Amino acid sequence: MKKTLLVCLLTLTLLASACTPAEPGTLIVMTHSSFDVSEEVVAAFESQYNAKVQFIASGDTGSALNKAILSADNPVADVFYGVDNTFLSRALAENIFEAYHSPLLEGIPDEFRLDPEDRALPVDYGDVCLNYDIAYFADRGLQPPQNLEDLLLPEYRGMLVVQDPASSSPGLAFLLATIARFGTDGYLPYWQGLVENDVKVVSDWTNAYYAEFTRWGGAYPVVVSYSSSPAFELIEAEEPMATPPTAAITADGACFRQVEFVGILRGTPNRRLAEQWVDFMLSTTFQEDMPFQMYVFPVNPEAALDQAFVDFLTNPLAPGFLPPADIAANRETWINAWREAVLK
Amino acid sequence: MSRLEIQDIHKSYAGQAALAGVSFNIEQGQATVLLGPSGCGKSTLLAIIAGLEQPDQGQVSWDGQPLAGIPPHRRGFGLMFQDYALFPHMNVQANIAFGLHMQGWAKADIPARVEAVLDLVGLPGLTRRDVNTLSGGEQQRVALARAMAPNPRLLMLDEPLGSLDRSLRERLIADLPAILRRAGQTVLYVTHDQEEAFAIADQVVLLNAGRVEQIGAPQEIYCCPASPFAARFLEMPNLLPAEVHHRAGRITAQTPIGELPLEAGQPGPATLLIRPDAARLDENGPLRLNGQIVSRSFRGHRQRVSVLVEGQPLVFDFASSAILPADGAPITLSLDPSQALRLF
Amino acid sequence: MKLRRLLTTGLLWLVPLAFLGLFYFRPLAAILGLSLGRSTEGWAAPLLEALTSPTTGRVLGFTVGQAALSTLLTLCLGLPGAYLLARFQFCGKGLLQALMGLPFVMPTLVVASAFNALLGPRGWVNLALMEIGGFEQPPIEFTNSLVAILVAHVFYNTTIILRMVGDFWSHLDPRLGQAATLLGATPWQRLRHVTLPLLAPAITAAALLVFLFDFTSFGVILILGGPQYATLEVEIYYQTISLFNLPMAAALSLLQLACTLLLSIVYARLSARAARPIALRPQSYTQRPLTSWRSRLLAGALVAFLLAFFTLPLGALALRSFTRLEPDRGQRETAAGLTLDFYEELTVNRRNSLFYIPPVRAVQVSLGYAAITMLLALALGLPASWALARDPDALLNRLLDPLLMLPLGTSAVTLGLGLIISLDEPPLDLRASWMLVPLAHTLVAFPFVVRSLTPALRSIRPRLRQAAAVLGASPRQAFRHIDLPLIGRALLVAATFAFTISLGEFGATSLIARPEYPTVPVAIYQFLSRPGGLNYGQAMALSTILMCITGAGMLVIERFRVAQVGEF
Repeated sequence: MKKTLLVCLLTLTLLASACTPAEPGTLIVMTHSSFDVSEEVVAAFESQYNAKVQFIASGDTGSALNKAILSADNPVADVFYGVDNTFLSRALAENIFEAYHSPLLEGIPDEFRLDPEDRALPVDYGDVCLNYDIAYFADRGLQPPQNLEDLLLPEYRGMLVVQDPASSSPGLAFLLATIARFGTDGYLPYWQGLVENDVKVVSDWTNAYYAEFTRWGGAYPVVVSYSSSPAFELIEAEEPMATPPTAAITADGACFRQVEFVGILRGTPNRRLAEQWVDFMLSTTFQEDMPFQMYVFPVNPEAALDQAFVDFLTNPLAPGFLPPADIAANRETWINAWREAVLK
Repeated sequence: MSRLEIQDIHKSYAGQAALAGVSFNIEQGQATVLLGPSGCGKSTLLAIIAGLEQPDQGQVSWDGQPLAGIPPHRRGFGLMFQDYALFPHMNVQANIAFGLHMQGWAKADIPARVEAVLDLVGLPGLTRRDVNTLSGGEQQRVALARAMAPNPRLLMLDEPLGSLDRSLRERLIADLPAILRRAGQTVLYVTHDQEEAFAIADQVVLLNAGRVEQIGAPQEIYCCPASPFAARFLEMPNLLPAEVHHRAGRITAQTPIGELPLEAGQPGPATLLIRPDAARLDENGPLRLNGQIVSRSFRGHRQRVSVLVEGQPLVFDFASSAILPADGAPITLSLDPSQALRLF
Repeated sequence: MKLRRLLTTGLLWLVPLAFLGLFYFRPLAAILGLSLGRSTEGWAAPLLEALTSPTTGRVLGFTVGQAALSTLLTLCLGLPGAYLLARFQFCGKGLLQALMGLPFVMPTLVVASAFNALLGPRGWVNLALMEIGGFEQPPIEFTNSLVAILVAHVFYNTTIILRMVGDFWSHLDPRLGQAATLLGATPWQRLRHVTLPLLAPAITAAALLVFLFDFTSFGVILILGGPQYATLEVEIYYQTISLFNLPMAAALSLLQLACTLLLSIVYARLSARAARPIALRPQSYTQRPLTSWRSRLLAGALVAFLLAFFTLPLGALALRSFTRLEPDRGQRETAAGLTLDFYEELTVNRRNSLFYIPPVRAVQVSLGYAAITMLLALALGLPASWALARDPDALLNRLLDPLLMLPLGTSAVTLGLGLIISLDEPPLDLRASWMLVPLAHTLVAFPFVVRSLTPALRSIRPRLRQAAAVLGASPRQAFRHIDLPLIGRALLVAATFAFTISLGEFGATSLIARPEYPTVPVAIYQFLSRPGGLNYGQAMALSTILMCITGAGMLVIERFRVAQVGEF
């Protein structure tokens, strides 16, 4: 019995050490679990640089970033991808990245380059916007809401479902959109108004979208989601359809832009390969692959978008924006004040 | 040198002495019976000999070799438990074969041995039965067969006939000595029943409250109980306080029923036993007692009569066929002092 | 001799403790130390702050309150169910038992969907009520309420009571109860004075596990309860991930651990007192068919309720995986056409994703992890429970016993991060290894194995081991031939739990799984985090597959048991 156990444990240890890749030419990329990429794109990189790429996915963005920060002394990976502008300051403050002035940054619009020292390089962006169920409003002959202010009107009472910013990334983005729109003095009264208009708060995107949103059997025709969601309702539909069943509200300041960054982890022994990977992520090969894989948009203006996106995507007129340092400094205060005002 | 030597065994539980200096020997091929009332320490002693319990003091030796430190499974002793302890998840065959497997018997020899011991205990052909469906008597005999099967060098039986019905018990009492002696088995047998003890034993060890009261052949024990306890335990309750006098070459005992002549005895206070089986219906004997019959109880081949002599209740045994006066009638009994009286 | 016993006990503990030390205590100490060390005002400050904050008091109160209430409700449903399964023979019993075990492996998001399909604003029940009662609005508000939390906890954990108590009960000699009846006890007195005290070790063990599961509840609270409810576990997640306030998270983790430890100590005291050797009987002896009309009626009602409670939500989910909703979108969710599209879609790598794996492969990965977890948890749990059972009074055992429950009371976030920072040096640099997943699952399964096996081992009469010893069996042989077969049923329960815990675990897995080897729950979450009917349908299809393999897995383990250890 004991002997068997010992053998088991030994085998496990051996297996374990065998599984930890250490051979040269392997690049380890740490990311969040929403990361996805096409086979041939990674294969292209691997053959071009004669390297092997291994991915470690570690839960949501916050969890993955925490992992990277806590293992900063002995990094588990060479590159970290996936920190967004709401978490950017935390990553920079913890000093987990080495600066890299990639030549490809030249072509990327300044609005995405939020770290002047180029420790975190922008890769993609997505806009968190309100989505509504087109059929719901059409059936009732009701005009859908056009902007954030409309949601305070009595005809939209009990129609909005949002996520808790404490536990949900789009939830936080939407809160930030209201702060960007109404200012630090105005956002709480706005939310007060939403509460009086019977806003529903749930913990996460899935629950809001698939349980509470009218399109999926819920009772709320307006939900916080992404500007890309309507396009994906079409692309990933059960049955082919001509136009998306939902639409995003993209008026001035109704959306919040999330930008995701990549960085080379401090102390990597594979600096050269890591730089090549970062360049690769900014190149059109990778940038054009992202939308379908991760429902996000390329920061590289040269990357071409698929026709389905071009046809059914309405870009927000002027998405809300807050400096990452402000977000980092006030995150706790804002969320707590929001919880106090909305959940009590 | 004796086979099994028990030397000065002490054992107490929570300050309560269960065994207080027990010593005796067992010879090869001999059946020794530990006789005593319940709670006298018999089962504890068995557990110590088997190695299931450790003595606080004293030692057990086999062929002169102390057994301390040898675990139960290496002692080669068999023990049949009072509550059988049959393995509930095995059938009769598997229960009996268990010890044979443990002691490395060749697989081919096992079935024959199981059949043989089952025959020996009078349960031929029971091998396939589930032990949970056996009657009490059957379970007892399977337990006996299981204990005997591996030919233990010492077979210990703890109240093996305890709960059997009378006729089965009588039969086994008659059969057991033959069964046990067939292979020159050395046996240590525990019982509280003197009849059983006398029928089976070569040597009886009478145990009382953790001490040995008397050791001897059954005849010795029966004829000459060594203490008031022994007498009482052997159903000889006529014990009277006595003062022994030596007077003019005669020895007498002054008792509540008068002065009785003795053949020997030290002067001073003592206890006098009048054996119940030593009285005759004779008005002309050497020593006569006059009394009154109080009650009688019929015990099959004999009857026990309570007689009030000088205000003292005494009991006497007579053959069932003896014709006695009615209850309440006076009776005269005669005793042979050399047989009937015993002084402690 | 005393020394020898102590030595044996120590030896038995060696491997389980080495494992726990390496993969639980060291990571935990590392993360807690690191987190408290980040506090600018010294390590004691966050502890003080956590203990004195009114929020903590409120959260702790809610955590304990909902867990106690959930456990009580689970017992209310589980004990009658356990009685039914333990004492009666009726056809379909095995299936019923397997069905009621299914929720245990279902990811919270899927269970939420299932309840939503049944009780949500557009669920069957509300639709029917609106139809019949002519309501304008859905009359039942189920999601985002305390009721939803309680119902979900009962839904998840009743199987723990059924398995742990039911299996023990099924071996209890019915003559004990009969004796009480003949001595004049009413059925209630019999239950109160004979049956319940005899069952006490199993009931307390099962209730403790249920309580701990509810106490550290995360997904159910967030998703079914909604943002207005928070347990300590939720608060730890919030402090760690959202606010990156690691010192506060560590303080709360310590508080949660302290509660777990306190509970385990109380439990250890109670169980040591309650456990007594009992003559166990095979089920063929203890169970009888339902004969009287009254018993049939009662049993029928109970079975019907259990079936409805456990299979309706899951059935709704399975039905959804075969149903296309698009043609009749909008007003009513009626079955608008059966389809296998979602299952077919699972087998297509439409986006050519690097991380796509066919459903068969995902199932293989999950089953592989589950099998490794089961073997590891049994290999570690068996010696530990044996050590606990053979010498309950030994100081070593009294000290270690409560510690074994700690992994269940540890926040998945805390432990996940702890594993990452402590297993970072060869030969144990497991941070990027698939091995972390079964290791983490084993930590959760291990307390279950110990709690299932120890009462069973303790209930074996020492007399049987003694009988084996005098027949020449060494302690090891006695264990092999007497203890092991006699605890066969408990072993099965333990194995089933280890297996299903691994199949259903999500929290820790999502933090450490390699994207190439996702478990089925992780894959389900991936689908559910993307918009579009095809994604939702695939999530339902994969959930249905998970239910099927779980059921099949349970049946296989059952077969294995019958072949290996026979009647018991």
